[in-house]
Amino acid sequence: MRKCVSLVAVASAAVGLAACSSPSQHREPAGAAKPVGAAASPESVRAAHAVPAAPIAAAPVVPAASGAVPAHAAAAGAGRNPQPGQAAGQAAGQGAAHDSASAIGAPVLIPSGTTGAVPQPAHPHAAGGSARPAGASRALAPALPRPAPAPPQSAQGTNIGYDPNAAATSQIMNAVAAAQMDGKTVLLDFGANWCTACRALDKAMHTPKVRSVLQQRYHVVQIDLGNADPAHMALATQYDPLGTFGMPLLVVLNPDGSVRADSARSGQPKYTEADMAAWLNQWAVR
Amino acid sequence: MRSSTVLTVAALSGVPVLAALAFAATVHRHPVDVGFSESGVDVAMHLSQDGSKLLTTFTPQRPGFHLYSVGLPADGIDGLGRPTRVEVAGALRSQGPLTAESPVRMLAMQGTDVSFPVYPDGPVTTELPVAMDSQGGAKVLVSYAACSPQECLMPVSSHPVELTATTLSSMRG
Repeated sequence: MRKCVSLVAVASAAVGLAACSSPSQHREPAGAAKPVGAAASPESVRAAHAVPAAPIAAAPVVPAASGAVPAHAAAAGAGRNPQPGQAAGQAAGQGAAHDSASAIGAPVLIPSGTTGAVPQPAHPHAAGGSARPAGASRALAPALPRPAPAPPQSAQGTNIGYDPNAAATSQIMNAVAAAQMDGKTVLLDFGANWCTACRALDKAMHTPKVRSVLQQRYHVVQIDLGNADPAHMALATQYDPLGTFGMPLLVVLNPDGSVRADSARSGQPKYTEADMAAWLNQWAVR
Repeated sequence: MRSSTVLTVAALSGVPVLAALAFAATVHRHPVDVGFSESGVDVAMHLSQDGSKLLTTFTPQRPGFHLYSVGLPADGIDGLGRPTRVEVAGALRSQGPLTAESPVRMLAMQGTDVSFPVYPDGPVTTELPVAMDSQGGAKVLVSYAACSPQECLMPVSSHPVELTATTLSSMRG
């Protein structure tokens, strides 16, 4: 009889243990993958990334760019969105600038007339889609939610100049070819028409001082990232392979096409006339 | 004392303790946040205790970054800016407009006279009134863009978050 009682008691304890452990299993979501906090922060990733950006030569030519534009044409504007600095005929090296920059990228071979399919890599910001637990619960402020106010109206234009249909690779090649001829620097401006910071940059680039620097020392190419075009994203990723860049991403190229500077590493210039002009002068080829 | 007696006493004394632990676990359930990280923002969501609100917290990973108001038009103001959006489908049905607990501030764009309704830098939590079906999974579509005065990160458009019935249950506070 005693043995029977003991066995029953042990069995009941085991059942109790099982009952207590089950709730924690229920809290594990089916789609659990990893906690939110496990994602590497951009800062840590960027800090660990010390390799200069890949040169443009690594990119196959966009099929749409197969109609090669003569190199000299780029000097008059390397794309469909002529910028203040794209006017031809100005000798490089003019203007009072201090040239503290040195090339940080490898020399680049400019493909001539080659065409090929652009690889369509997965968008670095493509949606993942799976749900996962994010750790502990969050305490919310007791304040009542309030409806968002109606957005204000403004009279600003709607297009900065990033053309989603532009043949970016061809434009860059043309700009580099032009730079090889006249010794100017190439400025790649990756951005989007919806991007408020890009609009601020655009405003700065149209100020007199900045226009002057651009005209005398740069060939400018604007590349649209607003529509997540895989080819354009691939171009931007070449200069920031981990895809941690923000917009606008400014990349300065030497006349040989190698990377001279980029804002993902050097930091964004302030979008005032003086600061922007100073930044451009700092990185322009002497 | 026989070993069988020791086992009996131990087992009987442990049952109330274990029962109390099980009760506590049932009464004090912590909601599980479900989310993802993309374009420099951590997104975590859970349901209110009564299941009537989907609470989504957006946390920019870098200081100085903000999100745009849920009230911003889909195409922004004159094409500029992208609103914060949380939409549901499946077992979750929207019962009202998306709101945010953070106050909106008007951010003047550098060099222009345009200002945008944005939330203060840092985390912002939105609330979406929802009704939840007893069975089936749900899908939440999340959209946002994080910007600082100097740069914008790539926008996220309709990022899908699939929620199974089990996950939905665990998300309730």
